[in-house]
Amino acid sequence: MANYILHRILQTLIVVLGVTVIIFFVLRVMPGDPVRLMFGEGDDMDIGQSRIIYEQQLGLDQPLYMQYFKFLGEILRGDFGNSIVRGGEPVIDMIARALPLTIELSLYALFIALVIAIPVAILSALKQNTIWDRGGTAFALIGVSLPSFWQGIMLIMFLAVWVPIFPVSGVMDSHLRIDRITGMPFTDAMLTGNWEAAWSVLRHMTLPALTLGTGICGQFVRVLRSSLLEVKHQDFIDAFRARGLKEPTIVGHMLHNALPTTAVIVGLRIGALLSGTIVIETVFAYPGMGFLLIQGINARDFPVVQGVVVLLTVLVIASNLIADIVHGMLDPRVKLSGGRGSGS
Amino acid sequence: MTRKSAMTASGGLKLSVAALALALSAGSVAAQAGGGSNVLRIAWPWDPSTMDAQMHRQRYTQIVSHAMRDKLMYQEPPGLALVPLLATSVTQIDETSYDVHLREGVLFHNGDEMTAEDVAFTFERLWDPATESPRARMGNMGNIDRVEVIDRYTVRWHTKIPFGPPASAILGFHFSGQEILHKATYENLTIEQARTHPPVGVGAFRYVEWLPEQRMVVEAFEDYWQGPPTIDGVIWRTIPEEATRVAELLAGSVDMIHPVTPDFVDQLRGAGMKLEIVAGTNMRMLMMNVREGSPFHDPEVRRAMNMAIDKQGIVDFLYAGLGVVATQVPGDGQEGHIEGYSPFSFDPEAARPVLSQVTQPIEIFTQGVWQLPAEVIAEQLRGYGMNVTTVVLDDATFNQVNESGNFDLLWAGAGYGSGDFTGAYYNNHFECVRLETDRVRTGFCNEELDGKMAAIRTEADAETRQALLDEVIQELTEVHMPWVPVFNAAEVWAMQPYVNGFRGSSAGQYFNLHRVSLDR
Repeated sequence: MANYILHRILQTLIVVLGVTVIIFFVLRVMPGDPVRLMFGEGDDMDIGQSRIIYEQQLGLDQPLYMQYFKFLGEILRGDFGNSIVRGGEPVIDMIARALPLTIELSLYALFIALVIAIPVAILSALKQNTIWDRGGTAFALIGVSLPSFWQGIMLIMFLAVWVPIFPVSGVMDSHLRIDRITGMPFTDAMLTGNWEAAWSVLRHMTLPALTLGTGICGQFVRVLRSSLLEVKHQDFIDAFRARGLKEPTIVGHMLHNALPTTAVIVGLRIGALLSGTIVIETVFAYPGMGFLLIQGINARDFPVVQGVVVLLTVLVIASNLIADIVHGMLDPRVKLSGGRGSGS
Repeated sequence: MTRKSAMTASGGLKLSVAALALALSAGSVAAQAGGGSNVLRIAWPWDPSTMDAQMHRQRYTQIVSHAMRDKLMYQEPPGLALVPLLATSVTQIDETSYDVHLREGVLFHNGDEMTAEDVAFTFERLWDPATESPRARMGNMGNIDRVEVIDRYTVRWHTKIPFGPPASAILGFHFSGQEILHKATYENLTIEQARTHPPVGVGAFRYVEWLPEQRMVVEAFEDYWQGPPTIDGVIWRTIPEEATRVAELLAGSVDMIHPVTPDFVDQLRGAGMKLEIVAGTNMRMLMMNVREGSPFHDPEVRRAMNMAIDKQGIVDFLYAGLGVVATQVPGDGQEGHIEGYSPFSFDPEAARPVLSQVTQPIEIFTQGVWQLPAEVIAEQLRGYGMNVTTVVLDDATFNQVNESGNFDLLWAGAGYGSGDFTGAYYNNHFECVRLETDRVRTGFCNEELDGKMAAIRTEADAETRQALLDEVIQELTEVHMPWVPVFNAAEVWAMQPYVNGFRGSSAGQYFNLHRVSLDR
């Protein structure tokens, strides 16, 4: 196991290095640079000269390879540089503000996805080829197919404007404050006993989490249903029934056997969850990593985009690694060994 | 599982979901009242990038900054003319010296009186190379030598070159763009500290809270020199998506949204929202490449282009009338704009014989948000037999194409929020010297016209200056014609019916928020 983890960490380092090269040079190859965008047409008598001076101050006049090595050196020191657009704010501070929000939103979305997916998949598997099964499959298909942007706007119109159950957007009501501990607003509000703020955060997170959650729960339904159907027809299930075990107990055993595959899928879908936040956070004005990334791309704020992409890459790889490890722990048949991948 | 148990499980799930929804909905009304009854809640797509007034180039950051810190002069809404704010007057001492007289008895938020020391410090900090301010050379500040404190309420500006009479010199000084800092506070702060330090200014509102990417909160300053604001405070919420901002307004959780595009105007009007509409300071024009090799090198083609586009139709049908047709190079309200001057009218019959000869493929480059009018213009030009298509570019790419001059037609915009024409605006779009710093744009260059503009900049006699300026404008508009000026899109704010006293600003920066009242 240790050998396997070490091997995967080495792989991760290589992937991250590749990502830094790609994101750095792709951003520079894209037409347009932050200084031109920031200065616009400008009110300077000689705006060309003003830009040149500012580019020199930011080091953007240096050769690309020098800028890249500077960026790499900063990353190795745990520093992602300073935002070009936001008055020189350290990118690491911006990420420290945004990442906990995204993590909390993703966990809530995951919770919603599982709460919906597990019962639907069980019902679908137990009632195979009935209207329940077809309904479950159709639900999964719709969940996967709906564009999250459209779904988000529709949820806002139905559940925040026409029937005002939830707030439209944001993190919490404007008059509330939360003392920062972890940076995750709901968690911090709970830890500090600020129940009003916790309630407000939960309500604000519900629509974006629902949008994100329904997007991924369709895949969970499909995978879990398939796994349950596979288990359902195995001999030991028939043996349980022959012994007269109650149906909930049998379903419990089925779930126990089907979960390892689902756990891997959940882990692998973390990437989809994080990429989903890019659109959802913008629609719901939820200032997490996706929100930060879009703002950074629009402003060609190179250090911000680089920092967010590198960190998201690490997160996705780490979540895949954890999924593999959990798979190994849940399924004794799976052995993890270095150099040969999982399940060997 | 039996049918009964399955139904029980299903029923339980429904109940759980319903219970969760009901539980989460409780208290929604109380929560939406957040912000207090006399606090103005504004939703906009931006977030101030810094609390340091000198370390940004964004209009939205300046709006927030201006609410907390006044400037020497400003453009009173809705127009562009500079009027005194903290400066009472400017007098010219000699060709390169100007005295700025300050208002007395103006208090900072901490109770200190504003003096000439604060004003001089503000500009010295701005120009200090160690500050690395992107605002340091705005206006014509690159040609200012230094400032000097004369007495407690007078500061003298020394310039490297003549800046002309005070009325034009103040544009070069960029008085409307620099908020006055509290010297005792900022001289002890590093640039990094100043980025998040609560601003100490002489503005109508005092800093309360800045949650980056979420909200900015200010409260009324009771000792404001123009009298205490009528509202208790302002909250700006950052909501990038327009559909979401509209939903917030319709749900009643904000009092005002900005900007509003024509797509949402009917919906908002139908919901009983008030709209504030003023002609914006971003003129949309069709830039034509005047260099050799382009079909628009021929002035006759450019003349025909100026008669070929139904501008009024675009404003009426695409923008629901929310715009002003542009007929000359300076925009409505801008310095140099000649009232009633409209050398070209929409004349398809006059345009057709010339444009029907232009048959090679031509692309109109545009940005996503401006695609629709670009498509309409392309369709109108196709009506003359031209082979025109549109190409949509992202903002950064578009800017680069604009500056490199690598286009035949560019559906572009030019902002003139400062109202200036003879200074940075002319320099940026038409003056030959710009070609040396890669701002090719249309490729237009005329040294004779540049000579006239140089004379205008230093001309002390107002009448002579105006006559020269009119001449330049007319030559640009109807002789050289590098642009087809099309229209100015309106700036639109939407607000709840109980919001009173708000005046939109053409320049989009100054709203006199201290005069707004909420009569709920």
